[in-house]
Amino acid sequence: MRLLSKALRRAAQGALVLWFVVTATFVLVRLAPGDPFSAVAGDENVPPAVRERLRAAYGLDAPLATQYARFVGNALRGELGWSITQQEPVSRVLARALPNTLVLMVPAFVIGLLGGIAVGAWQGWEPARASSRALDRLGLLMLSVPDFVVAIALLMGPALALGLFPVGLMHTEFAPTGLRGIPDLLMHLALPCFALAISLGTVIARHQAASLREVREALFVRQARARGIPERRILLRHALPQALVPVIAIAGAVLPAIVGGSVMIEKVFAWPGMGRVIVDGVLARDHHLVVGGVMLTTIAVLVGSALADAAQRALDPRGRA
Amino acid sequence: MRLPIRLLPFALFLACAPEGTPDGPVGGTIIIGAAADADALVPSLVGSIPGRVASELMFERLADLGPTLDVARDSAFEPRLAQHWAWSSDSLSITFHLDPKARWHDGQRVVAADVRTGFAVIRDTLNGSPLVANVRGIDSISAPDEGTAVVHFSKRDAEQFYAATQVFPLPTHLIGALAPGALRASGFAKAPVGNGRYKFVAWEPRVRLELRAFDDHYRGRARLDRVVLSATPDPRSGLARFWAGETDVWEPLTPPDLPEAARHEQVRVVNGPGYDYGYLAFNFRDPKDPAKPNAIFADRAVRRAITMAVDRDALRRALFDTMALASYGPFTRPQPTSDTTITQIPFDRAAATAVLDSLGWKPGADGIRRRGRTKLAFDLLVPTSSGIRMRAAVLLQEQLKQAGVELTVRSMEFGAFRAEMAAGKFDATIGGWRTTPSPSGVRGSWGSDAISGGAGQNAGHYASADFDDAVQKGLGALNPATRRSGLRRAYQTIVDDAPAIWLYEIRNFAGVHKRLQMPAWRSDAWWLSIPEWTVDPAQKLPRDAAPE
Repeated sequence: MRLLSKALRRAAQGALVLWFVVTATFVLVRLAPGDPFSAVAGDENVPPAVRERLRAAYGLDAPLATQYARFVGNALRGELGWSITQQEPVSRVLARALPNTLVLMVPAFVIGLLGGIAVGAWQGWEPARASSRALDRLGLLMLSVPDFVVAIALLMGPALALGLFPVGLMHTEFAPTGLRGIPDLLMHLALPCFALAISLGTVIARHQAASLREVREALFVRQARARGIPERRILLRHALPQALVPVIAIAGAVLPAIVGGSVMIEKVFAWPGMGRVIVDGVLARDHHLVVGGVMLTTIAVLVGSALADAAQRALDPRGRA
Repeated sequence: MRLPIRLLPFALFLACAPEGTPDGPVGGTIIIGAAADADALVPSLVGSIPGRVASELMFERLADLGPTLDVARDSAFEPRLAQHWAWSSDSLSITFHLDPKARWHDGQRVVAADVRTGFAVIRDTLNGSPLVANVRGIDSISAPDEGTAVVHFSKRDAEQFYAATQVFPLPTHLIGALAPGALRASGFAKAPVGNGRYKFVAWEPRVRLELRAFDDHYRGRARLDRVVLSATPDPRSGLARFWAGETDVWEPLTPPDLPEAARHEQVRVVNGPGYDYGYLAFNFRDPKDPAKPNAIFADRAVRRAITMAVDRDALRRALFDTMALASYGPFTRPQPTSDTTITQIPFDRAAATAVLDSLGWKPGADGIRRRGRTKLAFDLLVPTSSGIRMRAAVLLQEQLKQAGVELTVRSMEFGAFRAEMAAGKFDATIGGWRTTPSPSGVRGSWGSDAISGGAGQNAGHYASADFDDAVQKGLGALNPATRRSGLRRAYQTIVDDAPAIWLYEIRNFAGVHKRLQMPAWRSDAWWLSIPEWTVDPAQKLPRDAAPE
């Protein structure tokens, strides 16, 4: 019963956050100068009267409140509206882009999380070692380098200068599809995935190291050592699970940053995902597309955060009590 | 085997010819890199270059401009869907006789009703066709029989024939029943059935578009099997893909790209005359209250003095090195009516300062000129999306400072930039126009009729009865000499009035993969020759393999 109540409260909070984000996006996008017909019929040959007719035909001449009410009504029925630049329902555009983003983000998240935990565990358990100190400084450096710089460096180095990886897109033109296309997909995925994973991994590693350094001196760890349990077993069986609890919370908290980072990574590597859809939508003032994209992204972040919280509770003995 | 002696030359020719047809090898793929996806695939709805590339390979006109690019003579046009044509005795209609072999990609014959449908699509305002201004002179199109389309004009005009060729026939049997304004969202617009030498295969919006050679085309099959348009949203990444050989064509190249091109052995740089010119336009109206004249730029003498203070040659060299030429006015050199003998306002900073002094604009303690309480200072609006314009703004700022003019660069995102332009909320802006072989665009860019046009048109509110009259007379003239002299008068008028500083005319540079062999590069529409491009058999790549 208590669990159900918690879940309901969490869902209500999530709905409120979603409403706020979507409403703010809706208002901001519409208040931004320009309109979608600058892109669709932006040619100087299109008379202004024609543009006005197009605006009216798409309901963009209505007051903002009317447009918002119309949008909310449609959204409640599961309709995200019509993409003016793509000339198809927003849901269809997003349905095409979302799987591509998941193909990029899920492995990046898993690699970043596991890699960060592993590196952080090493740093936190063996802080005096030169390799730990070197990793710590490298982590600090990586934290100070923006995602897009890492992405461009990977693009110009391993991809362009060395020719080890393809430069962009998800597939080589006319490469095999289906299962036979997986090696090609993995080659295309490697650099953007690495660029995205490294930013998450760096954050996770630092928190993991800090958390483990605390746990390392905890009483139960010292007792385990006194009982002669091997260090490796103490780390993996006793200390790490304890030190993971705050790290999992951090992983949930950095999820929005990862989503934000993926926008730039997708642009640099021409990855046809949600980030590109949203950025192109903003540039073209495709209102419904932007709001729909932001809505879907917000839902993903909320679900991700909820899962992280659930995982944290499952790992934390105090949470289970 | 023995051959009769009379067949020997023919046999030798065949032996020497590359594989495929006697005219060259068949097969291969071209991947065209682009920073944006096609905005539409139906030519009447297209506004972007990628859209034009795709749609003009899938759809043909009644006739197309030949190498002379002279839009005022129908003899400069080559037959396409129309085999031949004839003028009426009063020159108010042209009868086009369609090629009976012309077919849509679904096998249906191209008929005269399709020409009428193409015209109706442009005229339907809800479709927002960018071609609408080009066909303004066309009154109607009739179809007396399946193979004959008659284009009727409201008045005689030097570009009547050109206007008729702006109408792309569209398949009546597929779109004839669509409601007004429904074409953009129709299934046809997403997977069009054309009549060109390439047919639609697949479109993944924002990612790639694939076309394949149409085997049964009435003018013969295109030589390359496939054309792929590959969109890369970040131009740096797009260029990197081109350097890496993932794409075959990248256009345009900029000065920093040329040394890089030399480092990639598979890259060939091609160039041709350019159709783009750049300018700094002054706003004649007060940005805060468009009903009032601009406190600085309403004065012709001030505009001329500021123009005189700008070293356009130095600016052009700094921005483009040798990749741009001096601009002489609102036209480009490849246009048949261009005139590089137009008298220019020369660069003369001493004279500029003297004029400003004489007009009462005296330097203040900070070096900036003032007249009464008005400072000789203005904002220059530039879009952040254009690195060239951003750099030009900074260079202009420095040059004008030396004449006591304060310029503040106001840069903003492209959508916001357009909105500010449309609202007239700017003192001056750096703009660029892409012209066409037809000089008529000058009316839409600088004519007083275009003042109320909003974004992208005559946003600076330049209005000159003399200029309008000269343009009208020049464009309306049927005699080539009268046409040239009329437009020369228009160009001289606008240069003397200085509503803008004509900064540069950009030459067209592009990179092409060396294995591709092609006819001469046609800058205004290089893609039109793609059906004639071939792949050197010795340099074929895996992607050149025949489609499955």
